[in-house]
Amino acid sequence: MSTNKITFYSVRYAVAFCAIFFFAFSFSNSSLSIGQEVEEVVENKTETDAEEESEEEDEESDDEEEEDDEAMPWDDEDDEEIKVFKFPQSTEFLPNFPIFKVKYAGFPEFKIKGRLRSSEYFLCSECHDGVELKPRPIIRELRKEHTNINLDHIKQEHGTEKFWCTTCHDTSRPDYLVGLKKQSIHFDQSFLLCGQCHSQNQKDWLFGAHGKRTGNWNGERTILLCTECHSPHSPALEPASPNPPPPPRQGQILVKSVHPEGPRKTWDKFIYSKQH
Amino acid sequence: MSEKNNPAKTVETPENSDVSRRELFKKTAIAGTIAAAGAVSTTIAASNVESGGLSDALDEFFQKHYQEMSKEEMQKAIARLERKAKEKHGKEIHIGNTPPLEGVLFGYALNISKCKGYRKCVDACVAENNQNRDTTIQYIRVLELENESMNFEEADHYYDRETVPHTGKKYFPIQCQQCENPPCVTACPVEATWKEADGITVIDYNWCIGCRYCAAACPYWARKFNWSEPSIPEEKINPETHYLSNRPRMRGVMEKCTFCLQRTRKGKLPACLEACPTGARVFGNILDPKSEIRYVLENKKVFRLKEELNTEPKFWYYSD
Amino acid sequence: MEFIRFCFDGVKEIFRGGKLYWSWMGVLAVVALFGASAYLQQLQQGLVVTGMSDQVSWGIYIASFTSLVGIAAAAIMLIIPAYIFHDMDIKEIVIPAEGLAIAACVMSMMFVLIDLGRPDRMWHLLPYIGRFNFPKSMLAWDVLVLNVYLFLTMIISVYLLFSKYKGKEPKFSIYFPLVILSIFSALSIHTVTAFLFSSNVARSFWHTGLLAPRFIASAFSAGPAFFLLTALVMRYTKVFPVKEIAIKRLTTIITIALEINLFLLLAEVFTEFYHQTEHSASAAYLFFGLGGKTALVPWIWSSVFLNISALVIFVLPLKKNTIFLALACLFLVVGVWIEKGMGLVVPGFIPTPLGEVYEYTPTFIEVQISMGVWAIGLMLYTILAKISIAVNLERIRLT
Repeated sequence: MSTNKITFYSVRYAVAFCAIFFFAFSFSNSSLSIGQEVEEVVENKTETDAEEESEEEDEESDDEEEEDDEAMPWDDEDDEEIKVFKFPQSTEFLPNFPIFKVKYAGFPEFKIKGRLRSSEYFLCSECHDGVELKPRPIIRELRKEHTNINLDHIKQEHGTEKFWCTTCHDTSRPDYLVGLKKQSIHFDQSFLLCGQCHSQNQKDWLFGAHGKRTGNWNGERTILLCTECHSPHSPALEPASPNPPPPPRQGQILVKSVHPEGPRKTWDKFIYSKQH
Repeated sequence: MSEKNNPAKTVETPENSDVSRRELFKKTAIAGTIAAAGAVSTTIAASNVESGGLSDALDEFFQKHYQEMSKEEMQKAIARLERKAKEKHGKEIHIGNTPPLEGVLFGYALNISKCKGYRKCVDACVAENNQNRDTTIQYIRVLELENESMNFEEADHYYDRETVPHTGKKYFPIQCQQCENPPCVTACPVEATWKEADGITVIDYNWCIGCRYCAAACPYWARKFNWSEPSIPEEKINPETHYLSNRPRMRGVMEKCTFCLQRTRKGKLPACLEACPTGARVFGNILDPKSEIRYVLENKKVFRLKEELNTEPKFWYYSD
Repeated sequence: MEFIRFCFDGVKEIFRGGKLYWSWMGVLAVVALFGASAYLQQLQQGLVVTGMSDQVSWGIYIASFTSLVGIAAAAIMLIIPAYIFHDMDIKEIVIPAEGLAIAACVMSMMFVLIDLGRPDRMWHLLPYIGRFNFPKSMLAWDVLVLNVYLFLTMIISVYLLFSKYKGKEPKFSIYFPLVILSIFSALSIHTVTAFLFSSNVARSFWHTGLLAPRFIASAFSAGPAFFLLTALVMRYTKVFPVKEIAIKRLTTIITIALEINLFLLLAEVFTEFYHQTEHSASAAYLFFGLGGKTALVPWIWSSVFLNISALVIFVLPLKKNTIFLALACLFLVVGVWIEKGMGLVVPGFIPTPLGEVYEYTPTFIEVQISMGVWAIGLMLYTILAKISIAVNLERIRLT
């Protein structure tokens, strides 16, 4: 079905961005700036051992600096800027990726709003260039690098010994993901990867029962990519503090609801009644 | 509020008028007169507080029901309301009047297995809909329930934990269910509330008499009353409003969730959905068979609150 | 012309009175003024000055309204024996009773008015000018029947008084249809007020078919009891020689109605408590408290105590003692006021439809305003009773 076709709206920005970026490059003669910046970020990370959130803040501040340099016509969509900034500088990857195939037909067409690869996840190929440093597909304790990554996904949730970084990350093309059938999957298509196991969630996501739509309820459908909400390495949503409870209205004192005392669960009630 | 602490202030009637009043009471055996006098003084008192000009007060007093106003009358009323809103809140406020979209019936679905009880929706709603911050009106209540129970009487409305979700608990947000058979609409003695063509129950804040019978009639506790003159810090006012939803309200009238009519009639998503960090909420047109909401309703195990009351809510709950 | 003179004489009668009369009216006027000042404050600040909340959105105002609608029925239990069965002893006291009905009606309307958030928009309730949601809204029905009843009662009492004033027998062909109509509308104000509550599917405590019969039974006991109380006062102060036989008749009426009322209440309580479903949460809250919250428990138990002791007095020969009789009447009036007000309106809201137990206590301002309304109502009743007694005793008549 033609409805299976996905349009990547980020591509437009990728092209425009890269062009402008190179343009800026040729003037500022700071061809190392990407690498430097990336290193800084890495240092920050190791120093503070910060979690994802704080790093995102770092990223945002980087972002703002960039914005100051150039007034972008799409300034209001700053999310995309930073994403494209760290993106592979070739946009030719697209033709290499066939239209994905899933077993479900009839879901409404959609666009993806993905975070793509943010600054903390710099290009794998920067280090894993396939020559000096090859990713090792051996299950082991990570000691030197990537120690900041919470690997609950391969430890707690599926048990150790089952799979490894290289189950999802392509060793031959480090900037891409890889499916179980060794097919290359772009980071913006991560739902294809996740859906290999989480097929029900994938189906729900495609049809709109899982995940989140953004912008509008009718017209062009834009949905968030899996990785917008789930960290791929530790997908369960973290507990967070709730917003404050409803306050009593002005002029009134709230006596917090007190529940009937005693056991509340059916089995507890049963046990309680036996005891008394 | 200083007045409130000082009730004597309002009792300040001069001695001679006291006497004349006593005379008046003695002479008026007909209760109708008392009632009439009360109505007149109320009108004057209420209008004095709310506006500067007498003509504005009269216009407001005689403002027709929303559904009976002609286009010109509507424009005039909106212009006046915008002007008064600016006077009161010190901010330019736009009051829109987008009609319901053709062929649209709004529906909402909420995945209770995804809701973690963060209450982000609650505050996003307040920010969007210009609720009174003094009396802290909130359209959404998130209940914390035992995992295996649906007994609301055992729910905690005021859970305040370090982190949520808490083990063994589930979270259950409740807001206006936009019933197809809304009991609040039949209850209203003056037709100040009605169901729009897109299925949203709205209130004409300028028509409501504040009897609160609808609040008694609503099985979902969705109707909230303006007990005091609404006050919102200037910087927190949302200037993009709709006549039937989030325009600034006045004291003594009802208000309720309208699925963010001001947004959804322009194709945008409700504020609570946008704020939800877990993607538990699905909104759309239930007349569109290809919509996401229809997929949820047709393919998921959905249920509705208090369906036995024959209210036919357009708010569904489901779980994975 | 005669009618104008009648009105003139009536007004003149109001300003004739002894020390007791003036001090009574003076006290009431002061209370009414206090109420008015509190109401002014409520108008200025909004209903935030009351103890009501979104959880309990009706309080003592609607509670008083509900019980006053019951008292407004007082007249009908006298009109039926007097004008249908031609009981001459009752006939004497019918018109003061009509005065009570008028005053109670006016008071109940005032209670609705002060409960409104926007009393300035009252005109929206007028048919054709505003938008009267008739016949769908039970509140619209209530407004209608209350006005009809008030109107009918006023017409009947003015007609009967005017006939007496002229020294003529009232014409059967004129008053009989009116009396029949007013009997039905008296029943309807109770029924509709009960429906106002019982039509709410959201509040299971109210959502019972027994509510209307209970309303009528309690009204037919509390209304005449209130009137009997005032009749005893009239007799005691020698304002009007109420006959013993009339008091006996009234006592019988009250006793029967009270027994029926208590039976219905018992039936209700049984159904609520035999299997405690979630629908009986309000009843549980009312009688025993819920989750450690017990604000209404003293209210309802004192109501039960008052009702039962009233019944005991009415059933025993104790009632022949005037003091006991008066006490029983007072017990009954207060007992029913609680049962139908704080014991019915308020617990309907607790717990809320979302299961929250949020309590309600009236604020001082609320009590002040309510007392003001009562004062105005009592003044009205005093005036009406005074005029009707004067006419009855032929102190004023067409000369």
